[in-house]
Amino acid sequence: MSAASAKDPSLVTMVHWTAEEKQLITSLWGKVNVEECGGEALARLLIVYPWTQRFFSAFGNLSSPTAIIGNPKVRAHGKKVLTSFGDAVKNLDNIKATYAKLSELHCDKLHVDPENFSLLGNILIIVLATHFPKEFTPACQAAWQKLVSAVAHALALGYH
Amino acid sequence: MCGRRCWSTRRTLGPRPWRGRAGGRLPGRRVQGGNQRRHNLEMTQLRCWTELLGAPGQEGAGYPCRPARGSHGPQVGGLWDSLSLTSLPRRMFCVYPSTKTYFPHFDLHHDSEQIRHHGKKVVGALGDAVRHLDNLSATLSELSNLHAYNLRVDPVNFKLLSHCFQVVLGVHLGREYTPQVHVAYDKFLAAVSAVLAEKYR
Repeated sequence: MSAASAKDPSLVTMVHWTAEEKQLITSLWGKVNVEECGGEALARLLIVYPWTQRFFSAFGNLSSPTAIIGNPKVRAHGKKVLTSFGDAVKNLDNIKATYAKLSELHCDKLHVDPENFSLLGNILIIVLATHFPKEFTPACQAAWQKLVSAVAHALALGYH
Repeated sequence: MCGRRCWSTRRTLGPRPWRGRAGGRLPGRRVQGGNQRRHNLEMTQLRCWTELLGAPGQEGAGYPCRPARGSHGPQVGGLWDSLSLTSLPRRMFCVYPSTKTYFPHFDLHHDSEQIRHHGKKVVGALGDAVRHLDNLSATLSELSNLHAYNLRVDPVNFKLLSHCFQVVLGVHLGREYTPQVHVAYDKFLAAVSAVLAEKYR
């Protein structure tokens, strides 16, 4: 770590992106259907890790994979979550500031265990792999894993 | 109806909940009542999809299964080999470079023979595990000993490999890697990881 970054605490949490990583992330993001992928990612989270349903008791019928996949509230919220993820893609050099308010919300109001951010991040990776098999090379996955980790970390930063 | 009554409320109860046959459970996991049917369905899907992928040495699991796909679907038969030979270990080393620390003696260049051979061993072991879902501890006992006493791989790496395995499945199966298949594989890989780590301490 450089002397400058040792003095400025905010730089400690900055993620360094290579030009290739930025290109891999932004080019794939340009092809993502946010409503479809977001809805699918949230549905998969609720199906594969059913304990995450604890945060969505107001969503109605989550009694089976079919019910979850067809639930309009799941789809809508998935779209909202992935739209927010797009903010990270647009602000790769300042993810921490981008998610400062959401971090506070998830801690103080929603009481979400930060482990869930990692779970959703990995689910998103698998959804992208199924939608974009040709583009999702190991290098592309590595860049996206770095991004989902950075987002999960930023969301957890405000916890106390 | 068996005429059972609740001793406290005197209410007539239904038949005793199904606890599952031995063949329906993963080791160390009690699946009770209504979850048994879902669990059996997941295990059937796991076996079906592994058969579709053409796991090595498998000659029809005898389970009700989707018919093999035609020309528009992914390749059957060669898919398991292609999973093992190149994509899985290469992807894991690329995405999680820390995993390379366990292979200082390997040539880690793209498509090295050592990586291909090791990938074949790993996926072969997973294929064995799928064929013996009812007895993972015994099937993986030697590997469990190896990882605990010899290799001493930190168990967190099993999760990393499992995740990469699922990504490879997603890449190869596309939309066919439905949430239902996804949860079956996630449970299976978690069970395998637990067995590999069970002798660590």
